[in-house]
Amino acid sequence: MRIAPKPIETFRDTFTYTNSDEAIQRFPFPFPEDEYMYSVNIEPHTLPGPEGSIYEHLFDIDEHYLSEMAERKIVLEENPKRCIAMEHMDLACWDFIDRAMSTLSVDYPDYFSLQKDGDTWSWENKLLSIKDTFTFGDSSTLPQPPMEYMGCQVQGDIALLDQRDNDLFLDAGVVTCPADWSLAFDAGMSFSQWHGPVPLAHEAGIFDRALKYLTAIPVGQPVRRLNWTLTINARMDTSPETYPDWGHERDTVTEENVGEKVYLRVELQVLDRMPRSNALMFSIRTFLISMDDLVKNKDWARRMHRVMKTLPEELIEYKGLSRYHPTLVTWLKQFDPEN
Amino acid sequence: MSQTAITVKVSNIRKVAPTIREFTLTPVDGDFFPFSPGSHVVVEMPAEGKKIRNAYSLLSDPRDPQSYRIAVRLQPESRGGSIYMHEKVQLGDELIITPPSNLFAPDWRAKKHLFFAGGVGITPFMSYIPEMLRQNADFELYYMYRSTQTGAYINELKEMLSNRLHAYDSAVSNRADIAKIMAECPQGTHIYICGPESLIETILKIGEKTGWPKSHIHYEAFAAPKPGKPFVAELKKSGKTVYVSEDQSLLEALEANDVEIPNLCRGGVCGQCMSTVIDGEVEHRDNFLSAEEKASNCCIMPCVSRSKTGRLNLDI
Amino acid sequence: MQAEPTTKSRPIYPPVEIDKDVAQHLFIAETGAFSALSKLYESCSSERSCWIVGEPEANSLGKYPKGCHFVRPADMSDVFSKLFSELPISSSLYLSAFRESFIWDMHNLAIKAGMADEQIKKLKPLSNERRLFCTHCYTLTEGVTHTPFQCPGCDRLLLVRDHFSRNHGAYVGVQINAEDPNDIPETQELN
Repeated sequence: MRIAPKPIETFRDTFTYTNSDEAIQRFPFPFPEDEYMYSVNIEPHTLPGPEGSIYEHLFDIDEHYLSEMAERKIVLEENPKRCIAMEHMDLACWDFIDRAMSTLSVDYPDYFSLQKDGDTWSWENKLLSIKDTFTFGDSSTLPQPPMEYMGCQVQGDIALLDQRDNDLFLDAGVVTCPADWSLAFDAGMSFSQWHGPVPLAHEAGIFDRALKYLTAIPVGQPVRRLNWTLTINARMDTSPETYPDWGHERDTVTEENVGEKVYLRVELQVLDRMPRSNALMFSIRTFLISMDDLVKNKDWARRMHRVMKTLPEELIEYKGLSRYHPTLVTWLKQFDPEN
Repeated sequence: MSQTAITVKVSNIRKVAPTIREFTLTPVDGDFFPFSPGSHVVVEMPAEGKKIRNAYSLLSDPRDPQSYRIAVRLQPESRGGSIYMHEKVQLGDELIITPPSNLFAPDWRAKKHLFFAGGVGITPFMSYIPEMLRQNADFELYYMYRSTQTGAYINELKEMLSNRLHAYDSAVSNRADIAKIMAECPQGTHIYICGPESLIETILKIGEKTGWPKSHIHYEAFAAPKPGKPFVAELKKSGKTVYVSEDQSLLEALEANDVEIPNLCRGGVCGQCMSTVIDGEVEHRDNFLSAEEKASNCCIMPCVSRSKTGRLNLDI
Repeated sequence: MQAEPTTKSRPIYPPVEIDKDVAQHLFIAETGAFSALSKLYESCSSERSCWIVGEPEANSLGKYPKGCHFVRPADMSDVFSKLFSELPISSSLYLSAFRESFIWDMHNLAIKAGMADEQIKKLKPLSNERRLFCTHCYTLTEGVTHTPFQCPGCDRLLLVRDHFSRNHGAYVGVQINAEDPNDIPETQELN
């Protein structure tokens, strides 16, 4: 990995978060067209991906690793129920531990190491000063329950989906940086149920098609897609739980501060089949970029204006952009002289 | 979705029943992934200048990453896949398989599991059993076979399961009273069936007549595509015209012409290969489409279905 | 936060029929909600039983079929967990209630006992009362009929959404005026 983890920056209160030039360069700009449309934009997550890109490895570790792990710790201390694992998901959690440790130790050997002696595993995470030996599959030999243990060592939210009756069920996860959804409420829901609130997409048959595709993913063939929204300030925890704390920030955007306050928030979602449990791991890796940083790329700036300008009302509302959307579009106009 | 192939080596072949051969496959580099009970792999067989791809259940212990085992019943009237496996594959040969997929996983919420295996249908349950034993699950196996042809693993099972195994050898006219077995099941029992259509039909009918919840009866039919009249498929999107021979499935003909479509079970049950029909009458042989869908002729499952008229025009 | 027009998580209650191949039929209702089931009960010619939750037996006075069982709300979980686990496989449940949450609490007990989704037949709830899950403090509140609603756990004024959780038997509530404290819509009855 070329980007070494920076000292801890904050995603709340002081918002000291910044992106280096390299982080900006590898940012996943999610708009392939000038107009945004829902689609089943799933593609194979062929590994290894392009060197240095966010797609190179199964789990991407970047300069924000220490910051994000510190942030996760704060959220879970405040509310431990932001991490849930139903009893029948124990095996899936161990599958997740296997996949994470096996790939991290190979992809980032400077930071992680894994030794296996039959079922006795020794794991070291040098970034977080973690060193543990445990019996694979035996949750009593881990310092924390398996979901929490591994979830606190990877960037991004993780959900484990149980596959039953040709459907997927949200039965385990650690969700501390969601784009406005609650694991505590949604736990146990089926695929179309937890997507219930999403407007427009159901009618287009998007979820039926996506579900058919996802239930057929075999072992070793992960897939990925990008999801996006906007966030005010570099706030990772935009959960419904804490909405009373950050909701008002949507009302603080002015034409003068758009560049520093409005962030494009992109999720790299990866789905990977867990071999022993047949569950699907759903990792949601979140990337944040301020408008000021985004517009340094002239193509992105221009497209951003066009996408925002043509966004349907239902999406503006659903994504919570209503209060500042017009101000944003006005500000972006300067980067798109033709429009 | 095309699947990345895994190259494997045949490290053991043994006869496990008069018509059944077991193949042990080992990875060519590294270890295999563990798999979930009930998984299958698709084996690619380069037979006689055409590629046959058949799905076979993994019967080895799911936690063993060092080898996978499959068992193939010789079916002389088939399109040649089992013949190829029995007659052409030698110790040390390399084969190509897909990564494991699972369309027949146990429902771990069940209070009790009942397995009904017919003949070579014992295979997926061989991968269930080690995991069931580890989880201390309540289960019983009803194994129906004809010892002159099938009956693989019967001794191994007797030893592993003792009175959890109920064996019925039709060669000595020993038959199971399925209705009685089903009537005595406690609340929360799930039934799993793997075997010939007739066994599945029998159990489903009894279930229907006696008010069993449908969702608690799971089955995997071993329906490899059967031969049929040759026909031509015209493909709108790719602009190709594909000739489907007697002993080739439409899916195989497409693949032979470098047209890859999503597929998983290759036996007409999973729905992955469903394609839109523009013109031509379909001869449906699948277990996925509804009666209405079949009557409307809107779609076809290329892995098993064919054409009634000599021609099909497909949106592929 | 805006309310969405229709939400795919909200349960739909299709018409319920008796399957004559099923051996045992249990008709279970909250106090006062059995009348919605009586027609089905009468038409059932197989082995059947009737269970009322919350009505003291003394009040029954010929309101219910002979042999009807009465269960106290506090005993609901224990009684039905045991009952469901001892049922034969060939069983159907028919549920009727004023409160949607009752129906799903019963559903969850049945699933936990090993029953299948399709065996648990549910009549449309007779009232618009909702159980509300406050997404900020996780408090569950029964009998919510209007939006916005003030959460008794954290005092926040919540928009009662149509996004439903079967596990909780509840709808989710999110603070209505987090963005602008003065933006408080008129109280509306829930449908």
